[in-house]
Amino acid sequence: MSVRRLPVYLVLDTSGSMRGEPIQALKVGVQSLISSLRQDPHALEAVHISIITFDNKARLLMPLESLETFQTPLIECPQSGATMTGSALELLCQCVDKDLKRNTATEKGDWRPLAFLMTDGSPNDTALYNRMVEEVARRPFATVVACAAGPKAKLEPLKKLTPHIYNLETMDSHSFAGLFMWVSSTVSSGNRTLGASSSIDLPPPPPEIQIVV
Amino acid sequence: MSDILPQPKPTPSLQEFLPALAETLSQMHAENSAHGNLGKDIGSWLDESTAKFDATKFRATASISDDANIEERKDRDVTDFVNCAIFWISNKSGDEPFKACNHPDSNIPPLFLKLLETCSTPESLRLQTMENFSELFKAELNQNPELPATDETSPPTVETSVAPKPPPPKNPNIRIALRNGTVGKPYSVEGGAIAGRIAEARGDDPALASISHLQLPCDSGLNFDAATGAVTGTPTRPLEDVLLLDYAVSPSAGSIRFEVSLLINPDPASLWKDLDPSPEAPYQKASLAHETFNYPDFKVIAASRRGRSHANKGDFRDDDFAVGYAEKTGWLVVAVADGAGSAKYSRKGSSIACTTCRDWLVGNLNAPEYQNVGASKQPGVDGESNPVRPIRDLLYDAARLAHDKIDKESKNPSEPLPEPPTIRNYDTTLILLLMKKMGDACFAATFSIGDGGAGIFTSPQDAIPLTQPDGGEHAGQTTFLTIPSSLSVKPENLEKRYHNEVVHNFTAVVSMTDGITDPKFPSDAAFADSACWSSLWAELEPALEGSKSLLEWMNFFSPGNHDDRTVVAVFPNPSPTAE
Repeated sequence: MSVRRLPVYLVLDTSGSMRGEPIQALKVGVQSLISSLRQDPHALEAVHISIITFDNKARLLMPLESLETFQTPLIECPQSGATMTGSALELLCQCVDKDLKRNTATEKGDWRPLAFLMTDGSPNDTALYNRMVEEVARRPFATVVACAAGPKAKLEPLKKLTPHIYNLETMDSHSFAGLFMWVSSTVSSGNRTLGASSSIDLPPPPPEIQIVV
Repeated sequence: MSDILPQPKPTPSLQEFLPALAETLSQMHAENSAHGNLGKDIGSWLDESTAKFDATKFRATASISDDANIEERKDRDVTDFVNCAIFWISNKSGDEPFKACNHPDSNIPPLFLKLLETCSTPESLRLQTMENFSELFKAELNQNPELPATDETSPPTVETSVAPKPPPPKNPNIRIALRNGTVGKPYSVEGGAIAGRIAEARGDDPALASISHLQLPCDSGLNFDAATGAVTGTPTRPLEDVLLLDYAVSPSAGSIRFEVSLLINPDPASLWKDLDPSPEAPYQKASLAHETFNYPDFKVIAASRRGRSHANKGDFRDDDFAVGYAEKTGWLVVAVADGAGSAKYSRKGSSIACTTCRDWLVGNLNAPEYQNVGASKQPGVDGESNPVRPIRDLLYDAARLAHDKIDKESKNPSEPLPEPPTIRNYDTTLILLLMKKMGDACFAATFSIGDGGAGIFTSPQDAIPLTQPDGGEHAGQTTFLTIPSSLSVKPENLEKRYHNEVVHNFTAVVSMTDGITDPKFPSDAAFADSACWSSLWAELEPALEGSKSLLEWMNFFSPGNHDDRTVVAVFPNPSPTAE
């Protein structure tokens, strides 16, 4: 019998503005997320991770893969480029539709998936983005968390996507590490009995992360 | 990109000039110095007569600086070297992405070109050292010893005059990772796989390539077989390490050293913590509960234990059970409830649900008119001729009362709480079971809301499910006593929740929360499959010696299933399995 999976989608901005220290800090953050989840017995059995990156276009950097076998891929970003957040959400929806196993008479389904969107800018494909916000809402996500990193990140578009928005003032390793530690504890708490209609209670974020109200 | 403007292509051939420059820079860095002035005045680096690179002259052009910013200057050398090399090879400024495949005829080793391409993004550049560039050239030369000879201007280059013999070259451009393992699970990488993958990445012949050596930590539980190139074993401890391996292009070739990463996950079973809940928290509940009840017609063994997922976080047990007996009429009442993990006071919800239903049902069923209700007078069927409330309605009323009691608790908590709760903070499932002996037959009825379930073993091999679990589209979704729709009086709702059976012989009736049904019945279809029930009985029977041994059995390990577990088993008394 296979274990019920908890799918976790990381949707990461790799647009040109992330070049340099931010992309390095992001990589360290993702790596520390994976490492800390590996110390959580529940996560080690159930969590499956997929990474989507987006700049000029969205790409599936890592299809859904169990934490046990997951090998962190090389995250790169181009010289410059637009922030196609809408395409990223489109790809996210496609992935969820393809990946997610639902309960059937003969097989038990997955836990409701979690999605984390990290961006340091604002969507350039606004029309697609707005359409995709509605599509994401139709998917059975237990929680969607958005993280606005750095001074240029726009909060307004993210507010349409989710009530859970966090703001990272700086994009150094320290703040990313804090963010991903928190993502890790959120993932851990997602792996519990969820009521038919209730969403998960998010753990309190670390002090360096501002909650956007 | 750097602001230096590289000088025109030097007159000596690049395939001599670049390795010599790389090597000299690498040596300078090893001596903890740096050039810091690369790209300026290339002419002054060349021997005037031969137009070849002159290391002494090159060193003389180094910028002078104290050691304080030596690392920065080394990094700058690497950046400048990459920019210059790209410029010289492509005759373009470095602002355009450099593509190795565009320069097949440059006489520069393809791997070096590939590394330059990789390095044209700053983040990968950061990880590079001059040593890597220098070693890469040597690796290529070792592999293709004829290469310098084909050069028409080929008196020995600076490179050959350098002492001492360099260490086995590394190849930083290929990332190698062995597949992840897990402590306690057999691990293997088949023979030839590692060499094959490296050969593929480098463009070597996989059939000739081999790994002569792979440095595995000695107590890792893994072994490398040099004859076949296989890695096998069962990991004994978690590991996240970079190992060294020696790769040979062909049996006669020298070895090239690579770094390879290996990750061994901990055994999930070893990571669970057993933390006590805070003694100050409201609604205290013991992590373990077990009891044996002996009644004239039935023997009942009950046990409930906190799940690993709760113990790991210091949370309470959310499951509960209650057992009672109407002595005057012989009715047995069993209630089992599972508080929702997502609701913070569900441990109280499950406790209120169980005790309320037990007390109210025992009180009502003790009335003389229930003496003969059951099999012969089917509930609801003979309602007109019989003034007694049908059993189904009685069970519904009990559940309704429990809902109301929980609602009352949420509005007026019996213990001080940090903030006013809502009824959904007390989310709980509920499985009610009534049993009564009637002559040589036995009547059993259930009313259930949520997941978990009950079944009656008519023999050790056969069982009849007594409940229909409420499942959603996704894992963990169910309904709760605390959600009003679960108590809808619509016939389709009541019919789904109520079941009854009359059996002439039974081995046991078992009522369980989802901590047991999830691992033991992998799907809804399995819950109706007698094979699943009989294998459950095979496990359960020896454990049902007493409530203590049942509690111990319930600690079984099943990946992904770490919820609270509760089992209440009812036997005819005297039971053939008891004592």
